[in-house]
Amino acid sequence: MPDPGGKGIYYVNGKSSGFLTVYHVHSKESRDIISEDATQPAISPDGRRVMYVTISTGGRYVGRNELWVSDIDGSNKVKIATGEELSTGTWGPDSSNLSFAEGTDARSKTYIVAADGSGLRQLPLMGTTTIGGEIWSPDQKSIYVSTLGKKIATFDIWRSNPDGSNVEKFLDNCASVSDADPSGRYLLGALYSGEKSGIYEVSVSDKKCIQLLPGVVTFGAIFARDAKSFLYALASPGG
Amino acid sequence: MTIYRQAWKDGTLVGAPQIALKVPFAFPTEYQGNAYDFSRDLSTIVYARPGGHADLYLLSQK
Repeated sequence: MPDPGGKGIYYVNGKSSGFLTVYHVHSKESRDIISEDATQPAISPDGRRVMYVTISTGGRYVGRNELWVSDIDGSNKVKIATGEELSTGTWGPDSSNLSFAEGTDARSKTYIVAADGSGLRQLPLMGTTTIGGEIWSPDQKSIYVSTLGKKIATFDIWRSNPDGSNVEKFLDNCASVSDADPSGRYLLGALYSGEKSGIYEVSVSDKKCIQLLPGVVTFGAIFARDAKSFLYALASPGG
Repeated sequence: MTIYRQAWKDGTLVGAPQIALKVPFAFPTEYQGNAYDFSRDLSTIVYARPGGHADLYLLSQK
């Protein structure tokens, strides 16, 4: 911006940085596992690995991301993909496969890949809008993908085989899916904004979308290991 | 950050949500998407700690 006194122009220059940190609840110890500007962590179901994206904010790589997988202690890093506007997805139930998305516009792409980076494949485009969550069925024979619905702040849910075949519109105007119960009969999801925000459940057999906890605004809910409960996080005042 | 547990059985809620864990420090919940995740057994939380620096310059002509 120009100096009001006419002495020249002001400008800002800097560099972002950051860490990905793991907190061990029982020992109350925190440890930086990734010394880069990283975000969107997703812990594997077995708790042993984490995927995340790193953000490049300098030079000619502005806007480009990398998607990585590492052990939960930050070791054994594997670069899965490089692209623009990459976002982490979810892990398959056996922690051997994962999903991620590229792009946030109307033609976002969803990919499936093994945790070692092999077997990368793109799922067919589903719907015409931005992708929400994508999850595996417990038997790993189906993948559910949520895409922004025609109604404001809702998501349509699609189902396909992991190889991208048999794509079908599963449900209209529901929530962004985040987990499936071990029986495969129910999905959990969330709506993040709007008057219908809350945690939702999908009954797979009768394709019903049921609001469970209205007004609860969270990124998603996951079943606890014993599937007798589900867990969700809310920001406390101040963080 | 507080993590809640909602008991659930066969598609039906059982009782009211309970606090499962209160994280004893603050961290951002959003940073270019979700900035945290927790394991299903609540033993581990991974979160982003964005940082960086910015300098203000005055460019003038002599």
